[in-house]
Amino acid sequence: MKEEKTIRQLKKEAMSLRIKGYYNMTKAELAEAISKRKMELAKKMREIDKMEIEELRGLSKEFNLKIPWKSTRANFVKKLKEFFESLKLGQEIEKTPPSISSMSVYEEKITVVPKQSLPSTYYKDKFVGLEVNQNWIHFYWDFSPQTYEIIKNHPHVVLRIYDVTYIEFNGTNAHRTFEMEIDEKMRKYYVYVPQPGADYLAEIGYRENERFIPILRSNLVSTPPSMPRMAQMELWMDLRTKRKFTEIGPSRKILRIEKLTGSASLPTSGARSGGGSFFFLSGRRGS
Amino acid sequence: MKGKIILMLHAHLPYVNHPDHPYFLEENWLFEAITETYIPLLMAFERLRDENVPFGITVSVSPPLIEMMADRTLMDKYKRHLQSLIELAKKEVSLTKNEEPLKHKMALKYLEDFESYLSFFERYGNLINAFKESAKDGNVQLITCNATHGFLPLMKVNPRAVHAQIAIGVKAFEERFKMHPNGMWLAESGYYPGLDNELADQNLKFFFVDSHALWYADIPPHYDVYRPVMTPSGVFVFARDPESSEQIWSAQLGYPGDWNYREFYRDIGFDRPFDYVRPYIDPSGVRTNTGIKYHKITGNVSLGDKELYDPDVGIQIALRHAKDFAQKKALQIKRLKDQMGIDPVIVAPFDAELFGHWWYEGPKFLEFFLKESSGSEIFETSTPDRVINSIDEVQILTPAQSSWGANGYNETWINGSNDWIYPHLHEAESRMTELANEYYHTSDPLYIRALNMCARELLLAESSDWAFIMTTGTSVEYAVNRTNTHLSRFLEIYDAIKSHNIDERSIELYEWLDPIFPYVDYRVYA
Repeated sequence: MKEEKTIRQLKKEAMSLRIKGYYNMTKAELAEAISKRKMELAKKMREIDKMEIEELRGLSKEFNLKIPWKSTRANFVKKLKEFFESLKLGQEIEKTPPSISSMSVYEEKITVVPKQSLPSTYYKDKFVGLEVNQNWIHFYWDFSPQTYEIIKNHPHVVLRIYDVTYIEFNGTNAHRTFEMEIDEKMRKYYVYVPQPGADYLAEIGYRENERFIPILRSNLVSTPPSMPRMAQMELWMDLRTKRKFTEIGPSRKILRIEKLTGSASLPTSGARSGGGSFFFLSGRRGS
Repeated sequence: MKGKIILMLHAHLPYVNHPDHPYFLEENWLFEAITETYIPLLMAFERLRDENVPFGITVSVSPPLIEMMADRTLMDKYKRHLQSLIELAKKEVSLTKNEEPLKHKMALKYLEDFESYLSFFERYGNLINAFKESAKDGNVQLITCNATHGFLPLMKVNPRAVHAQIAIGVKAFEERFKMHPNGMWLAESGYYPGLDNELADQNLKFFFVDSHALWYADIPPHYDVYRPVMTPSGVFVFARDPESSEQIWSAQLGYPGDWNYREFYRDIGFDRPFDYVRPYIDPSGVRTNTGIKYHKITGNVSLGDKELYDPDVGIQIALRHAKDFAQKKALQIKRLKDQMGIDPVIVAPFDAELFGHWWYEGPKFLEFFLKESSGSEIFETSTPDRVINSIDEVQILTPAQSSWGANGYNETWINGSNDWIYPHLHEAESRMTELANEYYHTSDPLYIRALNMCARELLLAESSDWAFIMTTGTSVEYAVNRTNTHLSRFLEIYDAIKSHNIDERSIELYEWLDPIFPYVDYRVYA
């Protein structure tokens, strides 16, 4: 039965049939478009013997069959017939297109999941931190079924963040420790951290009798620095001798005046120009 | 000695190639960029060469762009696109005979330009050859970019995926240009400490960063951003000069906003009667830009109130702006030289597509600027290769994590509109490495094809463009679809490999649909 195909299979089929706009179709639309297209092609296949060479060329081009332009008419007919047979159009015409009622059941089912169905979980323990900017870190996580069993029985799930800059972390020696209660079903959070240019580790766990029980630990997340650093020494290389040498007491040659931001009311973040101007300024499609 | 100016044009578009469709709206991104930016720039370089003008400019040609320019089917489509544009321009020439003289003048210019672009395109056969030719005498230095323009700071949790982006970025350039790139433009200037080791491993001599990569480096830069520095792994670093960018970039203050310049948004695709433009817009009947535009920016008026553009005035303004820019650079260099006691090196990177696509007169501006600079006593336009060869001493430091995106870090590529992609991308990346290790020694051709296809799908999903588009809000649906499509295909092939159930026909289909990097070797992920 046709309805057993997944949306991915249908898309693949639609693609090989050169159906325009299959990208954005729902499952029901795909099924209908495929069936319509197949009937249309089956009709073409029956007429193939009567077609003019231009039309045959057009068809072979449409399906990118790479039949040499100067081939004989007979060769075009032969190759096209072979191709159409490979699409198994014959089986299609006997079938009636899916009825509306059977499809609407389907629609209900697939509207529950996102339009394109990437897995909602990989059933693995995963806890990843990504720096967004100097003060914000994005965390996302995923649980194995075993971990989820543990966590779901605890009402107080906690996200902890440790400032471990220049520290070999042993669980208790962080410079600072932050925590917040989270809804583990969110699967992601953005958190504010006070220190740019610092190293953070995070843990997800739960609280039990005033104690924090960690379950997952994140990767090390380094927030980017956002101010000049101090240094006692500069390192240089003589490029001809490849020798390195140092200069004590760095002497900056240029007095850089930094931009001061301010306004009468609190500003929204100003967009600075930068990457991808092609789209940034793009006026296509509704702007 | 003179101060140096390194103009760096980053030419990039995401890989958009739909051989399964005779027409695909988003393929026009490439077609417009070729007609409006790449060919006009290449022709400008050619003219400068013919006039024996000494100059220096750097162009990073991103691997997706390289691969699209090497794709026969896509380039045939481009040629048809340009031919139909010429047909439209011819109609415009006769139509505007009875309209305002300025319109007619402009229609004639479009026709003449488009026809010269077509003959340029046909002369070289493809744009790869044209780019290569431009670099022959060293005035134009071509460099590469990481494979699919993946934003590396958000990929560093999977070091092998970063490695693959860098290695394939170099390989793509070598395969198509038949030469080694000395430098790399990192997508969105996204850098983090340690990334330079990967670059050194690929024998890359230099890369570019944003200004604050040096300002907030582990050791303060002795000459601010005005001399290249070197990372501990021995790779040279060129940092963006904020002053130059602002002069050109700023939408309000910069040159491109001049009221006499051509207006981008007023296009005959929207102005002419529907039946007339029908063959030149989206086949679905949605009006789109055609590339033929008759109006000037005029001022802060609505699109309907724009006045007609005069190309001669546009050119004069471009010349004036080029002279002004050269003067400003000379003053800046004199000022810096006084403070530094050594020749400053000013680095001005831009998206190439700004010139010509958005700023119609941009390629002319550049040509005028390069010519004007060739007569300067104070500075010369140069390239990283030439600058590196000319310096004796270099400061060693580790630049700070940074990008050239909004606010200088990662927030354009990770925020509420696009953060959902990272769990999937990261999972696919670690599965890719798992596959590469597990099947490193396989000799089964079907497995090798499937594994390479996995790599291609992953690379295509990693393009920073999708996350960027989701943030900016234009063409979002397409970006979401592309992300989902490539990740789904990846997962499907992964499952097929793991269950030893590879369907050759579906691999063949994907090879046809996503033909990027035919030479890719999945073992790069191991």
